[in-house]
Amino acid sequence: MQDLIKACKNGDLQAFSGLIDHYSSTVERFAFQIGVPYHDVPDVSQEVFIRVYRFLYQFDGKSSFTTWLYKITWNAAKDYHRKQSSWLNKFTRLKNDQTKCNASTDHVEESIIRDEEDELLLQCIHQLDEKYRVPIVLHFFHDVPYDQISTITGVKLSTIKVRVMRGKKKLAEKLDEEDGKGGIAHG
Amino acid sequence: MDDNQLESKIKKLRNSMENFPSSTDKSAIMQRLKQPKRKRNHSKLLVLTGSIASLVILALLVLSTLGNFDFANSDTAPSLDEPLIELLDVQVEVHSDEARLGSIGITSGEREGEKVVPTALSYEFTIQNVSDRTIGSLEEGEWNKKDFVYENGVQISIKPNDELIKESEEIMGYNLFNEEDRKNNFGGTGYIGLPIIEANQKGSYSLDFLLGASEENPELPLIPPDEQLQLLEEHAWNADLIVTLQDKEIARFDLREFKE
Repeated sequence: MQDLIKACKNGDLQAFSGLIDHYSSTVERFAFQIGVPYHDVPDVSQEVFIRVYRFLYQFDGKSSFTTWLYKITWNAAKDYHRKQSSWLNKFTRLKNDQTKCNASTDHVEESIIRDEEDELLLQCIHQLDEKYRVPIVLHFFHDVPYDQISTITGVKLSTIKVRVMRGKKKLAEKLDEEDGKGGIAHG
Repeated sequence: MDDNQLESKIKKLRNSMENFPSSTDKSAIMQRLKQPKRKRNHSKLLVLTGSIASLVILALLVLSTLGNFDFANSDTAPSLDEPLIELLDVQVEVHSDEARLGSIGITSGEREGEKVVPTALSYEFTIQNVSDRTIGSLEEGEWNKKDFVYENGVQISIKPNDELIKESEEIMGYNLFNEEDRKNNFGGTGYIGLPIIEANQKGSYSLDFLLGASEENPELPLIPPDEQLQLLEEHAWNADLIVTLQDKEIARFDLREFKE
C-alpha cells in the first residue's frame, strides 16, 4: 500500500485508479453511515478522491492513510450538508431528488438495509448529533481505535471516549423511544 | 435497552452493510483529474452583464475580499464558497481550575499573602485551517503590547446574542462580553491562541472571562450562587465565535449548533 501511495504522490494515475478501487468501499460506507443519502454517495465519494489526489502531497504518513481518508470523507460530507442547506440548492435539487430517489436508489437502499430493525437503528444514528454520530460510526462500524478517532475529529482522546459512551446511551434512548412509538413511520 | 442488546443490533446492521454496492464513478474522477483547472470565462460575464463597468466593480469586490486573507499567491486561493476555517470542537464551562487560570495574591487585610483562585467562564475552541495556505503572520514589530496579541495573527472573539447579554446582565450585573463593562466591574479576560495556522493544520484557542472568586477577598468580587453560574454556563452557547485576521472577519460560527 505504501508503494501505491508513493506512486500516487508522484502523479501516477494508474496507481491512483488502484487506490480508488481499494478504498472506495470504505469511503462510501462511511459517508452513508454518517448521513449522506445513498443517491448522493457517488458525488461525495468523487469529491473525496479528487481531494485525496490534490492534497496527497500533504499526507506525511504520521497517521495512517485511512485515518487521513476518514478525515477527508467527513469534511466532504460536511461540505455536502452545508451545500444542501442553502435555500437555492434546496430549490434546484427538489425536482432532481424526487426523480432520483423514487426511481432506483430506494430499491438499492432497501437491499442494503434488509429489515426494519436495521433501518430504525440507522435512522437513529443519523439523528444523533454529529459529535456523537461520527465517533460512534468510526468505532462500531469501522473498528477505528479511540486515538485515531481523536486524530480524525481533532477532539481530545478523553472527550472521544466520553462521546462514544454518551452516544451509545443516546442511541439506546432513541431506540427505546422509537420502539415505544411502534417503529419508524413509512411513506 | 442494555449495552449488549445495542451492540448486537449494531453488529447486525454492520453485517448488512458489508455488501454495500460500489457507486463511485471512477472514470468521472479520472477524467476530472486529467482536466486542467477551469478558469473563469470573463467574456461570458461581459455578455451577461453587458457592461464593462459592472465587471470592473465585481472584480474590485472580489479582489478586496480575497485581500482579507493575505494569501501570498492569489491565483490558487480557494473560491469564496469554500470554507477557510472549520470549527472542530467547542468546550464551554464555568470553573476554578488554578492550573489554567492561575491565582491572585492578596496584598492587604487579614489574609495578606494568601492567594485566591478566580472563577471564570471559559471557552475552548479547536479550529482548522482547511485551505492550502498558512493563515496569519508572526513577523517582528506586529506584537500588540496592550492586548498581548500579534496584530497580523489569527484572533478569535465571542459575540454574544441578545439573550446571552441579558442573562449576563441579570446574573453578573453587567455585560461580561463588553470590555468597558468589564473594566468598570473588575472583570478581566484571558486569551491563549496561535497567531498562525499552517495549511490543513489545527489551532487551539481559549478565552476566559473572569467572574470573581468564591470566597470573600479584597481583590476580586464574589461570584454569584452556583445555580446562577450554571445558568450562565447554559446560556454561554448563545453566541457566535468570530475568527479574524487583521481585523477582518474570516469565519463565524453559531455556537448553539455545537452545543451537546
